[in-house]
Amino acid sequence: MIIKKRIDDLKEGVVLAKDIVNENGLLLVAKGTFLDEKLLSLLKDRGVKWVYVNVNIKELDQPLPKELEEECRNIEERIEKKFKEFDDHYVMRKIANSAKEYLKTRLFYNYVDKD
Amino acid sequence: MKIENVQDFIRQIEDLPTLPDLYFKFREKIDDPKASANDVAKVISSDQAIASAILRVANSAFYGFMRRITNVPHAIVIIGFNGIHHIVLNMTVLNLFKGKNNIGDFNISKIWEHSLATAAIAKVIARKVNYSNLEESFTAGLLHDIGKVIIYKYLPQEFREIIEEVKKSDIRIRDAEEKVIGVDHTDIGSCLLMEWNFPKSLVSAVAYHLNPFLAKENIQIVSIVHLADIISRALEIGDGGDSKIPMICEEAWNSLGMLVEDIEDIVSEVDSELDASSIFREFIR
Repeated sequence: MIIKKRIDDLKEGVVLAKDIVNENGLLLVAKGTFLDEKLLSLLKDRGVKWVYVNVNIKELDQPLPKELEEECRNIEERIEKKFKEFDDHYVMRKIANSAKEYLKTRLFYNYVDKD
Repeated sequence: MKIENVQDFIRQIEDLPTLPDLYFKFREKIDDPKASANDVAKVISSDQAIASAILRVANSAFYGFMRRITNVPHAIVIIGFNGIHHIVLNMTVLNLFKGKNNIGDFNISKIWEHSLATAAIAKVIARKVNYSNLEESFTAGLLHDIGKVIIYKYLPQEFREIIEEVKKSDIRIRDAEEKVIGVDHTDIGSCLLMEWNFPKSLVSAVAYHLNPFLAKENIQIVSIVHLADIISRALEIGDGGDSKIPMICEEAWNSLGMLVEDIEDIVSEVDSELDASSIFREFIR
C-alpha cells in the first residue's frame, strides 16, 4: 500500500509510488523511479519533505513486533468471518485478501511511526 | 412512522436545507463559456472557507513542497472548472449537515467517514477504469449514504430504532430501515438529490448503489460506487451503520471491465487518495 514517508527516514533503494510535480504541473520525478542517495539529497535540497512509497506487510525489512501478532490474527479472523457467506466468490476473495493486507500493513506502520 | 411517499416526506421537512445562493451564482459562472478563472474566483472569494479549501486542494497536488499557490485564480486554473464545481458542491452539502449530534452511542460522523472513504475509493476505481469524470465519482461516493443522514437528522427516533434493529436482529441497515420506516436510505437520498436538481448520474449512483442491476442508465458510475462501498466496508473505515459487506453484483462487476488483480492496486492507493481529500475531513467532525 502507498504511504507517506518523511524523506529523512528513507534509505537508498526505495521506489517512488507517485509522481512529483512542481507548481506548474511539470513532472520532476516519475513514479517508479528508484531513489538513490543522489536523488534523495537533490529532493531534500529542493525542499521536498516527504514522498509516497509503496510498502507491504509481506515485504517488511524488520520482523513483525510480538505485540502486533495477536492483533494480526484478529484481523484475519474478523475478515474471514465477514466474508464467509460469499463462499470464496473470486472477486470477494480478492477483496478479503487485499483488506487483510491493508489492515495489517496499516497496523504495522501506525506502530512503527509512533516512535 | 412509515413513509408512504418519499417525495412528500422530503417536501414536508420544514427546515430541509437548501443550497445557498453562492452555489447558484457559482454554477452560473462556470456554465458560462465566456467566464474566466478570474470571474469564477470573484464568486468563490466571497466565501472564505471555500476559497481557502480550494487553495489547499491545489497545493496538495504538489505534495512534499511548501505552500506555493497563494491566489484563487491560479488554483482554479490548476484544478479546472469541473474539479472546482465538485469541491464547492461537496463542501456545500457537508456544510448543510454540519453539527455533531449523537443518537445513543451512534455518531453520525462515522457515516460521513465511511462516505469519505467510499468517495476516495470511487475516485481510485474511476481512474482505473478510465471513467470520464473522476470528480463526479468522488462526489457520488461522498453522497451515496446521504439518505441515512436525512433519517438521522429528521427522524431521530426512527434512526435509533433502526440502529437497535440492526444490532438485535443482525440484519443489514437497509432491511432495518424498510422495517421501521417502510423505505430505505437509497430512496430518500436519491429523492433529495432530485429535489436539489443534482445531475442524473449522481441521483442514479445514490439510488442504485445497493442494486446496480436495477439501473437503466449511468451503469458505470453506479457500479463504481457499488464496488467502492464494498471495499470501504472491507477496509473498516468509518461505519455504514451495520457491519455487513454487500455481495458484488455480477452485472456491475462486468460493466467495469476490470481484472480481479486490479483490486490490489486499488486498495493500495486508498490511503494516499484519502490524504488528498483530507480537506473534507474537517467538515465531518
